[in-house]
Amino acid sequence: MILLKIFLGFRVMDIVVKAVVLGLIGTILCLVVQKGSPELALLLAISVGMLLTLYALGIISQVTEFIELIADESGLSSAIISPMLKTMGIGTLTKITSDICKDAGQSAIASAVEMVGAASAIYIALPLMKTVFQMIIDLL
Amino acid sequence: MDVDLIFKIAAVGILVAVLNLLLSRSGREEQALMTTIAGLVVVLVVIVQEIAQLFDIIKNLFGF
Repeated sequence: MILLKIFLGFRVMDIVVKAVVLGLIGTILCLVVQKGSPELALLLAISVGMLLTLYALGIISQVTEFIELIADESGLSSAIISPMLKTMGIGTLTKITSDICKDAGQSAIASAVEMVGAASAIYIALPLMKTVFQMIIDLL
Repeated sequence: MDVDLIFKIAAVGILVAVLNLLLSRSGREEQALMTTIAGLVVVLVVIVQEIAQLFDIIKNLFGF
C-alpha cells in the first residue's frame, strides 16, 4: 500500500519522457558540435549526463525514503542501511565518471576512477564485515 | 538548471567551431586556438557550478 502511494504520488512517466527526449537531443547536438570542437562536445555530454542523473536522483530519493521506512519498521539500525546507500552513491558517481572518461578515449583514467570507487565501497562495507566476523568469533 | 543549459553549451560549441574555422582559414592559427580555449573556459565555468550542486544533492541523498 505504501509502495503504491509513493509511485502514484509521483509522475514518473513525465520524467521518463523528458529524459528520453533530453538524451536524444543531447546526442544529436554532440554529433553537431563534435566536428568543430571535440572538447565542447565532451562538456556537452557531461552536462547532459548530469541533468539525467539529477532526474534519476529525484526518483531514487523516493526509493531511499521507502527503504529507510522499512528499516525503521523492522527495527534495523541505520548503521546497517547507510553503508548500502553510500555504496549506491559511490557506484553511481564512479560509473558515470569512468564512462565519460572512456568516451573521451582515456580508458586508463577511467579504470583508475573505477578502482577508487571499488576501494571506497569496500572501505564503507568494512564495519559490516567486522560485525559479521565478530559474530562468527562469538559463535565459535 | 534545465534543458536550456544543454542548448546554451551547444550554441557556444557551434559558435566556437565557426570562429575557429574562419580564423584558421584566414591564417591566424594562434587566435583560433585562443578562441577554442576561451569557449572551453566559459562552458567550464557554467558547468562547474552545476556539478557542485549535483554533488551536494548526492551527499544529502546518500547520507555521506
